[in-house]
Parts: sequence; structure tokens; C-alpha cells
Amino acid sequence: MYATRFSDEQVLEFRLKLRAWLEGALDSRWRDSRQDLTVDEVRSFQRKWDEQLHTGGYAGLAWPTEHGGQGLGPIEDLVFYEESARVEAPEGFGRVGRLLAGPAIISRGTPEQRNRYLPSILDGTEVWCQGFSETGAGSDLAAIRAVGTRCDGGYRISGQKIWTSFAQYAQRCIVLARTNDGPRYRNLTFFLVDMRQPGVDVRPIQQISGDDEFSEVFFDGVFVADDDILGQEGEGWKVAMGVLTDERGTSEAGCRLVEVANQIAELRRCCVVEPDHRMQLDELDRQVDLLRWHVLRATEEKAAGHDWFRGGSVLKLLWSELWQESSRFGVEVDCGVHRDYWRRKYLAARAVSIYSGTNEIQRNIITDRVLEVPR
Amino acid sequence: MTPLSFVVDEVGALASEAIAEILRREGDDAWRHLVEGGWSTLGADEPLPLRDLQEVARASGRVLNAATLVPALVLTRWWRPEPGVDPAAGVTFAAATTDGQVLAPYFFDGVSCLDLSGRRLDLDPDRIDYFAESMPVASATSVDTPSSLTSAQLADVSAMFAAVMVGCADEAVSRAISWSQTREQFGQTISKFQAVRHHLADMHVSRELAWSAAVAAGHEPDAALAWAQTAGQRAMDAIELAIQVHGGVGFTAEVGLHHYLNHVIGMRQFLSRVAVGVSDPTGGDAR
Repeated sequence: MYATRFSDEQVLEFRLKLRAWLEGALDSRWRDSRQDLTVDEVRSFQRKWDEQLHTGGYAGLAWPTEHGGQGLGPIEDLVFYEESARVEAPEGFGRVGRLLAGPAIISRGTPEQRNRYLPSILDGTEVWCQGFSETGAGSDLAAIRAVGTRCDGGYRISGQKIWTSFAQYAQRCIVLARTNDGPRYRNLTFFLVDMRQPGVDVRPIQQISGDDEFSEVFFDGVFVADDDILGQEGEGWKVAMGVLTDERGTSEAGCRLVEVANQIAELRRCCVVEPDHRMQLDELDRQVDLLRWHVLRATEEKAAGHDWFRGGSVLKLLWSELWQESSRFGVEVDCGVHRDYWRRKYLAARAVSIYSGTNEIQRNIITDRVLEVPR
Repeated sequence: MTPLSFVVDEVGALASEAIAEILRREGDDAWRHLVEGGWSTLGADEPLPLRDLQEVARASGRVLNAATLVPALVLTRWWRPEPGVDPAAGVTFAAATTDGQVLAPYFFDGVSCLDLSGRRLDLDPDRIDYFAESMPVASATSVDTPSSLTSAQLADVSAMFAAVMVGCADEAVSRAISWSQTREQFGQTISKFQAVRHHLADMHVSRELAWSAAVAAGHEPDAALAWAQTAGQRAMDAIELAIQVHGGVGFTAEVGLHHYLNHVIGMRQFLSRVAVGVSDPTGGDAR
């Protein structure tokens, strides 16, 4: 049984054991010289981290044990991200698999799908990406145009997805496509697509940050077997909403808190020397602390079974805006050694108020579904 | 160390619901009903966790007619009420300030004043600051010198005041939502305009942060004062937006949203002026 309160004894035991593991697992080059690593070196550390999490028993913490997870709950999950932040651990490539695809397959998948896909998500051997957004369907996801056409034994997917993070490294993709001419929200199907097939064309997009972490992905008659539909034909919207809810949950917020806390630690280690800047950094630290308390509160309410999925929008607004504020501050301090590093970080942070549901959409969700103000 | 837990106990939940109902229903007569129901001495017979009392304090922040409920609840954590204190008139606590004065919050006419060791003090009713009508603060320079608050007592006061400030934000959010659904412009209620809806969302976010800060104040006594100020800042953010959503009428005294702003400001100013004693004559822990 997982913990339902942070004061539970098992939480303390979990935390102490995790700290000991992190102490040994984290590579010193990542911890001490991350700003000097090349992009390829960063990717290498991320891949290795996914494997280490699995061997250490920390992949799929909140997954049920019958599906290879640890059977723990939102509190242990959050403690994991907190302690990871404390040692500035990397994030790995397994995010979409562990937080989105895996839980969706556990929730809606057949026993065969679970047996086939869950182990490789957990051990990091298969990287997953998310093929939802299109050029004409971002915030209005239901307007997607990618189609799945019926064929012998399955469907052929054709269309274009965009903003697909890490598609160039992924072996699998969760894809939403239109499969009938029925009414909106009932005409979509959720597919588990093999990215290594003919007909899949991944074109990384140059970002303003200088990275190419997301791509356009073109599907040209890509075959997907009936066995690789999640849920039923026409149920894609329902399955996708479950995925997007997880995206905005407490684990996501805990994961993002790692990035913000890391940025502030980096600033404090090297770049901030002026007294005024130190005061501003202290204020950022306080905001991180407040966000942390808010995430703790949300997590315990979720563990207690309260309906917190709508609260995820509040979390997303908070961590994304704080992330942008801290990276902007990195530019303001104008560190002579790390000027370019902070400029890249600042430009990269422009995305966080846009992805995982724009902050405008989050505000709409809060007003529509949390405050229940009629439209 | 306070066990870390955010979910309120059943007692706290029931008490806050009952008190909130009295405050809503009885209006200006609420204090009498609270006294008659024994709510003004909640925790006197059996101490309640601070977290539970914060729920009650939050409820009181919504209506600002609970007279000295919050100071009374603070006092019962440190001292059992003296028989000579008239519960009907109310009782508040006094604290020394960093500049040698004495402050007593919620010092309405007829209210008794004690320091947190239970010693009765006489304050001059002519020296009352009415900046916040809902929380008059008496200040004086020549009275029996109260004990300075200990750091633990200041932490209690900070946590409780933080919760009240969240209640003020709660009321502002509710009123803004209600107003937006009645006020019409351009042929429709203003709640349909995305800009207004986003203001409501931002108010909710600020209110939620204020509550997290208040809960943090209850869990981290050493940082409770700072957390209370953070709760107050976020509460002010929410109330400011409520005034904005109300448009011109939000700026009128009649609508009264400024009472909530003044209440929060008054609490924050009180907390910023209170001195903390070096030693604690009572031993350091709440009852």
C-alpha cells in the first residue's frame, strides 16, 4: 500500500534509501561540469540515466507491481523527483514512456499490449514520443487531420505531426488519428506506432534555443495492426484526455521542479556575484520553495484520493512561469563565463508556457472546470 | 517537529464548516453565536492541531465579522482562559513591537487584552488604529509591558493570520466570479470574455499559492513569519484582481472589497512590527 501522508514512516524510509542510491548513481561530470558538456554528451548521460533508474528500481515507481512497477503512489513519486532535484539528476529520455504511454497502456491496454510494451519502457530500451499536435491542431487537438485508413489487419496512418519531442531518438509513438467521419471527439483513434517502419519520416526542427529537440513527423501509409490500437476505434479522444491529464499532474510538476531548482543552483554556484542579484536569487529560491510546498499539498491530496486532476493546470502555470523567470534572470546577470549558456536556456524556456497545453488553455481550464464559470 | 501532512483532520473540517455556517448566517450577530456555541474557546479543553485551527481561521477571513475569534483561538493554544475574562466581549492578545510599543489586534470596544502568558493588560481605547475597520489595532507606549512573543508564539500567530488572509482571498474570488456572471456588457455577461476569465483563473492560482504558504507557515515555525508574508502577498494579488474584475464599482466603498485588502495589509503590518523575545518564560511549547 502506498503512503497517503508525507508523515508516514514508509516515506522517510523510502527517502533515505533513495538518497543513498542517488549518491552512488550520479556521475560526477554531470553534477559538477554540466555547463561544459556538449549536446551529444548530455544525450548520452540522459540515456544512461534511464537504464540506471531501471536497475536501481526507480523506473515506474507509481506503476502497479503486476505491470513491473513498484506499486507506490503519488507521494513516493514526488519524493523521487524532490531528491533527484537535490542532487541535480538528469531527466532521461523515458519521460513520455514512463509518465504518458505507460500509464495509458496500463489503464486502457490489453494484456498482450502490456506484456509487449511495458517492460521496454521501464528498462529504457524503447524510447517513446507523442504524436498528437499538428500544424492546424495545437490547442484545438480535436481538429487533427492525420487519418487512419482501414486495411487488412489494421490501419494505415497518413498525416503530419509536429512538436514531437525526441522523435529522432524514439522507437515508438503514441499517435492520435482520425478514423471515421463521425462527430467531433468520436472520430479519433489512439495508435501505438512503430517509428522504425517505412513511411515514417522524422525531420527535426531547429529551435530558437539552438537545439532540435522536437520534430515534424510525416506518416505516409504507415501500417499499424489492430493489436496496436489502444482502446476501441473512435475512443481516441477519451484515451488522449487521460494522457494529457497525466501530463499536467503532480509527477509532471515534480519533474519540472527539478529543472527550475537546477537552474537556480547553477546560478548560485557561479554566475551570481552582485549583492542585488543575490537578493533576486534569494527571491527566486523562495518562489521555488513555495512551488514545492504547493506540489507537496497537491500530491498528498491526490494520494488521499481527492479529485486533483483539474488542479494540474494550476501546477503547470506555476512551474512554467517560474522556469521562465529563472532563466530570464540567468540572462540578466550576464555571467562572463556562461553568457551563451544562459542565453540558450532563456530561449529554450520560451517553450514551457506553450507546450503541455498553452498557459492560456490552462487558464481556460481553471475557469471552465475548476471554478466552473459557465461559458 | 510538526508531522508533514496537508489533509485536515475530521475535527478540523467539521469545526470549520460549523463556524463558517454561523459566520455566513448570523452576519453582525455572529460573534454572540460563536460564544454561545463554545466556538470562541475551541481547543481550550483539548488542544487541537494548528492545521485544524487554520481551517477555522480561513473560514473567518471570508466574513470579517468574527470579532476576536482568531486571537481567542491563538490564546487557547498557550493559556487556558481566565474566569474573569468576559467571553461575550471577546479577548485578544498583545505583543511588544521592535520599536518599544505594544500592539493588540482586533481590539474592538470592550475587548479584554492579555499577553500570551495570560497576564491582563490595560490598553488605551483612544490609541486604536482604524486603518482596517475589520481589525482595529490598539497601540500604546505606556502600559504594563507585555511579554514579547516567543518565536513559537509568533509562529502560531503567523500561521493563523496567514490562514485568515487566505479567507479574505477566498471571498474576493467568490465575489468576482459572481459579479462576472451578472454584469453585462456588449450584450453578454463579462464572464464570457476570455480576458476576464483569465483574471479569474489568475485569482484562483494566487489564492491556491496563498493557502500553500499558510500551510507551510504551520509546518515550518522558524520560517512562519516569512511564509505568512508570502501568503499575504498572494492574497493581495487575488483581491486586487477582484477589484479589477468589478470594474468601476470595485473602486467604490459600498462594494467593500477594500475591506479585505485593508485586513490583509493590517495583518501583514502587524506581523512585521512584532518583536520576538530571546527567552521564553513559559517553556516554549503550546499547551
